[in-house]
Amino acid sequence: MIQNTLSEHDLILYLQSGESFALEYIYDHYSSSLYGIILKILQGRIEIAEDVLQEALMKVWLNRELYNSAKGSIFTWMLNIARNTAIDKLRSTELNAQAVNRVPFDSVSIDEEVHSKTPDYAESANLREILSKLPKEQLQIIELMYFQGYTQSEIAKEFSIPLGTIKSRARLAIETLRAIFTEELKGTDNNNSNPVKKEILLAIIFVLNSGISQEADLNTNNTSGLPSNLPENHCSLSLQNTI
Amino acid sequence: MSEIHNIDDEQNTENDAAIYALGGMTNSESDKLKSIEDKHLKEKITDSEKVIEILARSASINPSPSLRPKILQKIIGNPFPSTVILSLRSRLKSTYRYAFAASILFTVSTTTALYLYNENTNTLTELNTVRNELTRNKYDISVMASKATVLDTRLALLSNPNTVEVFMKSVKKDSSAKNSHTTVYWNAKESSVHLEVHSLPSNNDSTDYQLWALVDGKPRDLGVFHSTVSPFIFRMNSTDSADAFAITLEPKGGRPSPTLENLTVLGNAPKLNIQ
Repeated sequence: MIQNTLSEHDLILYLQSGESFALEYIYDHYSSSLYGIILKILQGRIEIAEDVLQEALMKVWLNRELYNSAKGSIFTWMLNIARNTAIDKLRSTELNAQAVNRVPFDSVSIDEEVHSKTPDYAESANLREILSKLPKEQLQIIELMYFQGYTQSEIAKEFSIPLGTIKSRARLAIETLRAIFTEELKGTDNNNSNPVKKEILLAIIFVLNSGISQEADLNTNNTSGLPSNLPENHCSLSLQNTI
Repeated sequence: MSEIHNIDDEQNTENDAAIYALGGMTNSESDKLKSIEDKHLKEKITDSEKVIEILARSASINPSPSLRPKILQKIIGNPFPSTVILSLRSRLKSTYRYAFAASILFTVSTTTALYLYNENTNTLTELNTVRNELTRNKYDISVMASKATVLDTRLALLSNPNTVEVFMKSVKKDSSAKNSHTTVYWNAKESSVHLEVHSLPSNNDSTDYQLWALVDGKPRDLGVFHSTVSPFIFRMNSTDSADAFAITLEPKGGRPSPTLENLTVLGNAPKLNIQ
């Protein structure tokens, strides 16, 4: 386990200069996030998800020179690679042969069942908790679009939903998620003891922290265990719509 | 009227950013969107992507620990030579060196140093020396960066409770080799082996050093290396078991079995109880 903290800037330089150390760092700091999304997309099939994680990291390594920080964060880039690889696998004949139900949201299932249904596969409790807070029509868009790989036009066609409605539901879904995260962030002073909430909070801090500073700015007097340079202005920038 | 129009425009921008971040566009749609030079749109895309990043981070599930060595070996083990020099000096463009040195030193001297304060006082002393040297001597900054990277790597290795240090001492009596010593950082659980060369006699163009693990009395090839410039840390071939580690001087490229008369350094591995 490579425990050091690298700035995103340095990580990219290490990675693009071909240091294998950078891949180890990526594995230690990002693989659980990538794996969580892969596992969700592949509906808990652990063996396939492990292969997909390997394939995705292989692509990260082989395509490292194609990454361009002007086009987004390295985390988003890796996440897209992992998601696309998992969705390709989901659609492969191998999985289709196992009669995967790619469409859980038929006309019958878009009801309360969507919220109350406990998945019968491994899924992060945090993810489940977050998704359970979304209104069902927004959850449907996230599930179909992000976790099943439908494009907006495919959803419009297959589910007979007007394209404009899909677009605004996608925006509202992002806004709701932002509001959920903002709530978590605002709740920090209440000494949250819920471990799930704490993990979500750490996730927020990780993401907000990764993009803003080129160098770590760790305050040695900080005993909270959290980075002291949590960027207040950055939070308000990213989460401004709901604060 | 114009205000309504602006609100519509704003919503359309946010709609597009959301669909883009959720991966709901075809390739041509997303290429088209990304080609639009609009600062506001780019900000909205970044904001939406941050939301997805937090969602993904929240959804983290740790893969099985056995997957780490398997995946890393598969990706960086095979297409690479058996030794990978972890020094940055030779690979980075010179323009990056200054920035690198500063940021690496910064990372080393804050995050890592704090983390390992109790266990690594010796290394920390070295770290301080490096930091002071850096302040004093800007000419040598790329060398310092290299040293800092090695220290950084060493600290990272030692911070893993499964890593054991195996000190390897010279078995030669002659003056050129009697001070030879190296250290193996061995993580039996993950099978990883890193080698730090502190001092070895320099070799010539026709020779390489070769690291061996002795397992049940038999040598196992852990790879060859050439450079004896200190400090460097090499990542060597992996082994999950070893009674001792040894280095021999061999013809270029190494040999399938060690030449015992060329044995240079040797160190016994501690007995481990790995599940």
